[in-house]
Parts: sequence; structure tokens; C-alpha cells
Amino acid sequence: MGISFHGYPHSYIKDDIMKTENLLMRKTYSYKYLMPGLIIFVFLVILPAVGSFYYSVFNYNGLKVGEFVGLNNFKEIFTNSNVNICFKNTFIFSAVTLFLKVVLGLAFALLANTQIRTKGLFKSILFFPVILSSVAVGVSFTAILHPETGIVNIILRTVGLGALAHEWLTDPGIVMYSIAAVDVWKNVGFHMALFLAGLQIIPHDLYESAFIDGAGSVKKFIHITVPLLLPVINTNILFSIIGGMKVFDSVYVLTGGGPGNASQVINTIVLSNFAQMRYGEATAANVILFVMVMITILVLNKFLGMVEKEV
Amino acid sequence: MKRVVSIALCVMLAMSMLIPVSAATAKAPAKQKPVTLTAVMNTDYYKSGIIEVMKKLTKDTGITLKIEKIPSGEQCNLIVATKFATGNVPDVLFYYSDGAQFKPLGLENFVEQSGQPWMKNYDMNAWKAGMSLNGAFYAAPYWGQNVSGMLYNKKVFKNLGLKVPQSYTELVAACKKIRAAKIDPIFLSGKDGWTNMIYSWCTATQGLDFAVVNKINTNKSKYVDLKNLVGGLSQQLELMKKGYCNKNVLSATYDQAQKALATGTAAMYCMGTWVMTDIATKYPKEANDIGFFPVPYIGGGKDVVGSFTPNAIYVVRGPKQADAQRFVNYFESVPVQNTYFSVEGGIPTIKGVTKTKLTPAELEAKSYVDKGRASLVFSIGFKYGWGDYGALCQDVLAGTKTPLQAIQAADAEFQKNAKAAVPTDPNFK
Repeated sequence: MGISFHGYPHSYIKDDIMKTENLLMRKTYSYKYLMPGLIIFVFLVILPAVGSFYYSVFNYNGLKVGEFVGLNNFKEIFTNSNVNICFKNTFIFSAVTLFLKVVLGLAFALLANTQIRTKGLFKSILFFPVILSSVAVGVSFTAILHPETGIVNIILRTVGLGALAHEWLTDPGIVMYSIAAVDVWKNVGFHMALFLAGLQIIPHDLYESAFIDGAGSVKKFIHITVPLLLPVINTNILFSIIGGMKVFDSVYVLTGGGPGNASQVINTIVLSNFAQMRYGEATAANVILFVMVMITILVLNKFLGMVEKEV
Repeated sequence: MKRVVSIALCVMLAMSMLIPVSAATAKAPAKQKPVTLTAVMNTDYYKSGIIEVMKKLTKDTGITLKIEKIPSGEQCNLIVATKFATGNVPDVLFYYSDGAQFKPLGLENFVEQSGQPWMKNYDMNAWKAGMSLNGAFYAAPYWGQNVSGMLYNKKVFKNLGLKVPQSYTELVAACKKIRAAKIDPIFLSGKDGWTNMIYSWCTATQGLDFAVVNKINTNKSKYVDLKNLVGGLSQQLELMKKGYCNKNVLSATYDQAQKALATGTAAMYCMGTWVMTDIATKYPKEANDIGFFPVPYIGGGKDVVGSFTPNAIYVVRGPKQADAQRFVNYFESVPVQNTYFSVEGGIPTIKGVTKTKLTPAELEAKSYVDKGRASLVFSIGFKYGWGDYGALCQDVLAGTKTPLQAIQAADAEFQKNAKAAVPTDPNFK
């Protein structure tokens, strides 16, 4: 049988070693599959992100790294004449799109979750804008919202509601709301899909029990649907807030930050700095945005998590 | 003897056979090895002139030019800067001649043009201020010299019995009469931000002493000190507020302005003469009804027109720079310039070019240059960029900034760009 070790036969020790090796191999097996993607992620995302902290404290024109300037680039961002407008616009856009995407997304999901005959068509129509190119949507809505030749104002004037016709994309007072509306139109289908997935895993017998107990639609919604849908609501809120704070394509294609600087947001300021070869300052603006998004996610996650637990 | 004679005859015969070969060899030029050059060009520059030149380029030189067209405006600056930052440079670059734009790309990336054959036909003294940097010429001219001022529809003026205004007061009076006839006196294409800059550039050019440009470049003065710049922006706003511009200024585009001016739904449009190339293409008959006069700011016949330097072609240092230089020498030669300007508007900067396609408006503009009533336009010669001045003009038209606030914002951007320069500018520490 072979030499024993502490009274155990050699074959048992060998078995144990093999079992440990198998266990280790199983544990590292999945990591081996992760490695290629992880390497790409590290080189294309993590390292550039870390590098951005470095470039944000230097004078850097994209071709040469100049002198170390400390927090000067950050100071330049906060003393930019458009900084108030861009933070205000980013906040307005995030708040408006958050509210509309969550409320409308849920409403459409509730409708799509009923037994209407055309629910398949309904879901397709609502989801279709999500897959369209942002550029195509922007160019189309630039024409649709034109104050003279745009179809929106033409219809309003034709039906006698000319007073409601506005310069949707050229009135500094309403331009951000117009952009938010276009963004909601484009992306509400995505939020509807998330809500729909959440609605479909709620057990039907809960609704049946509530019906037997005499609960109406509103009570069923408040006491069954909302509590069980909370994780999905929270996910939608987070997606919407992050998307709102990082907005760029909708603004850039529809107005370019205009008229003038009336619809500038943080990311259009970043682009403007890159275009003037102030790469250090542009990177500093990106770092500021990163910190803002991180803080928002952490705070929201904590708050929404507490709400979930309470419910 | 017979043998000697026959040998001599054979030698002579053999030599006579060689003569046409050597003559042919001496006469025939060495065939240029075919070469493909890459070029990057702002899409607005790709017009009839370069298209016509490229038809014979390969046959004449063996060069095939592959042009990558990039969007204009801020995107153009970004793409070019990214290409140079990543080393993905073209062999030939069609870009701005303004030093503030191309200097950040690194002068070491370009081949200096002094001593090249094409410069024999080039008035270096006339173009030194606008086309050279630190006394060296890197830019070869592309497109023509253009002039900025007020383009006007002669038919509208004639029908209303109006004369070319010589002062701001006369301009306002003319606007009043034109508005009464239900025609837009001045078209403002507010949506295309860059077009809003021209009016204040024209007024700022009046009496401009280029020593002031040097003072701004060395932080001894600021844009707000230029009264004619602030004044011009204020005048433009005043004209709009008085109702002497088109409706929905901020939605109106450069294309719509061309149509309005050509068809007479607008009487005047403040722009550079480069717009006449587009108008002549789209509205060939109506283009002859458009005239030109300097923006009346100072008055009394003392206003000058703003003269723009042409755009530029740069030879980028690299393995094909010799062929790229050959292309530039070919392009700037008088015969090729004649080909270019026979289909493209603009006033040639190369001497000896006789075939031009100048519209009446361009000829009128050129007459002011020939009379000495021209000056390099205000925007030339600054070392650093001043941000998106077009967007600031839009802010003024939208009412979100006053003219003074807009110029102060431009100053702030200039200061930022100066401080962010690599290497650091000691005047802006």
C-alpha cells in the first residue's frame, strides 16, 4: 500500500491532493475565461481612467505634456463663464428625463402588461426609437422642431393652437426642456422594457388574493406592484440619472450647445476644451463629472437600498 | 583600302543609329514614379477648383491625391489635432492659415516653404502678417483672398431708389425704407454661429493698428479695449432689435441667407466674398445682381474692407514630403492656378493668374482692395484662440449676454489658451 503519513495510507493522501488540485482548478477555471476580457478592460478603460487623473493636473495640449499645474485646471473649469449654465442644464436635463422616463416607462409597461390584442405592436413601436441612431434622431428632430417649417408648429398653428408654437431649439428659456423631451422619446422604450421584465415576475396569485379581498386596481398597484417592483424602479432611476449627467449626443446633434451657450452641458464643455487643445482642462472636467456621478450613485444606492429594505 | 572604307562606313552607320536614341533619351523627361499622397481637407474647401485641378494631376505629375474630407468648424480642429497627436498625419494638410490654429500642431511637423519655386510668384511682404509665423512661411495659399463687407441685392436697392449707405445713420435709414417694403433689410444667419462674427470683425478692422494685436498677444491689452469690436457687436444687436433683420434669426442658416439675398427677400447680408462661389453655383443668373460695399461704421467714405488671408496647404514632414512638396509646387504654378480660378471664385494671391471667375460683387470688393481701402481683417495675427466667438455672438443675439460680456468671455478664453500653451508663455503666468 505504500508509506503512510500520520497513519493515513499514501493512496488517501494522493486522493486528497488530487481533490485539492481539482478544487483549485475549478475555482481558477472561470477566471481563465475572464482574463482576455479583463485585460482588454484594464488597458482600454481602467488605465486610461487612471491616466486621466494624471493629465488633469498638467498643461497638456494633446501633443506634448507641459508643466505641472496642480488644481489649476479644475479652477479654470469652475471659473469658466459658462460653468453655471452647464451645471444648471445638466441638472435640469437629468431631473426632467428621470421623472418622465420612470413615470412614462412604468405607465407604458403597465399598459403593455395587460391583455390588449395589440400589445406586441405596442411594445415594438415604443422600443423602436431606442435602436435608432442618436444622430439620425437629432437631425430629424432639428427639422421637426423648426419654428417656421417644423411639423410640430405647423400642426399647432393649423389646429388653432398657434400660441403654443415656440422656437423649441432656439429659445434659451426652453431649449433644455425640448432636448429632454427628445431624449425621453428616444429612450423611454428601454425603461419600459425593464419595467415589463419586472412586472412579469410578480406572481399572479398575489393579485388574485387581493382581488378576492376586495382590493381595487389602485390598491393593488400601491400595495403589490410598487413594493415588488422597487428593485427595478431603483435600477431605472440609476440608469436615468447616470445617462442624464453624462448626456452629450442629444445636445450636440440638436443644438451643439446653442443657441450661443444656452444648452451647454458638462460634456459639451469637455468637447470645447478638447477642440481648443486644452486637453488638461478637458480631462479635469471629465474627472469632475466622474466624481459627481460616483457620489450620486453612492448616495442614491444607499437611499434606495434603505427604501427597499423598509418596504 | 576597300576594307578600310567599308569598316569606316559601318562605324558611321552604327553611330548614326545611336544618335536618335540618345537624342530621344535626352529629350524625353524621366517618367515620374506614380505615388499616392494622403490629404486631409475641411469639407467646405472641397469645391469646383480642386476637383478641376485633380482631373489632370495624375497625368501631369504621377501624383494621386487621396483626400479625406472632414467636418468643418470645431470638429475640424479636433480631428486634425487628434491626427497629429496620434501620429496619424496626412502627407498634405489643407487647413487654416491662421497661426493660432496651426502652431499648436507643432511647427516641426511642417516643411517651411521659403525658397520653393512657387514663392517666386508670391508677394511675401503683402502676406507676411497673415501667412507667416515668426517670419517663416509654412502655408502655401489655397482658395483665394476674400474680402468681408456688406453684400447687397442691387435690384432691391434700385427698385426702392436707394444708394449705397456711407454711414451707420444712412444704413439705418435704408433699413427702414426696405422694411416698409416688406423685405428683410439685413439677413442674419444666426443658427450658423460663425456667420455672426463677420459684422463685428468688419467694424473692428476699421483703423486697426496691428501694434494692438501684438499688445494683446503679450498680455498688455485685451479685446474689451477694442471699442470698434464691442461697438460692432452692439450695432448688430441694435439692428436686430429694431426689426431690421429676418424673423427667427437663431434658426436661419447660411444656406437660407444665400437664397434670401439672391432672390431679393433680403436686401443685405454681411459676409465674406467666398459666399459668392456658392451663390453663383446655385443661383447663376441672380448672382450678377449682387453688389458689395464696406460696412459703414466710421462713415465719410473712410471705411475699409476686411481682407482675409486665403486658406492654406501644408507639406507635412514624413517619408513622402518630397512628393508632397512637388504637389504644392504644381498646385501653386500659374497654369494650374489659372485652371483653379477659372472655375472657382476668389481673388488669386499668386501673381500672373489671369483666368478668374469673379462675380460682379467680387470685382467690386477687389476694387476697394485695389484703391487701398482694405486692411487685413481683425481676426488675423493673434497667437492664441479666443474660443467660440460665433457662439458668443449667438449669446448676444439670444439675449443671454450683453456685447461687453461676450467680449469679456472671449478675453477669458484667450487668457486660458495662453496659459495652457506648451511651452508656457511667460507673459501669461
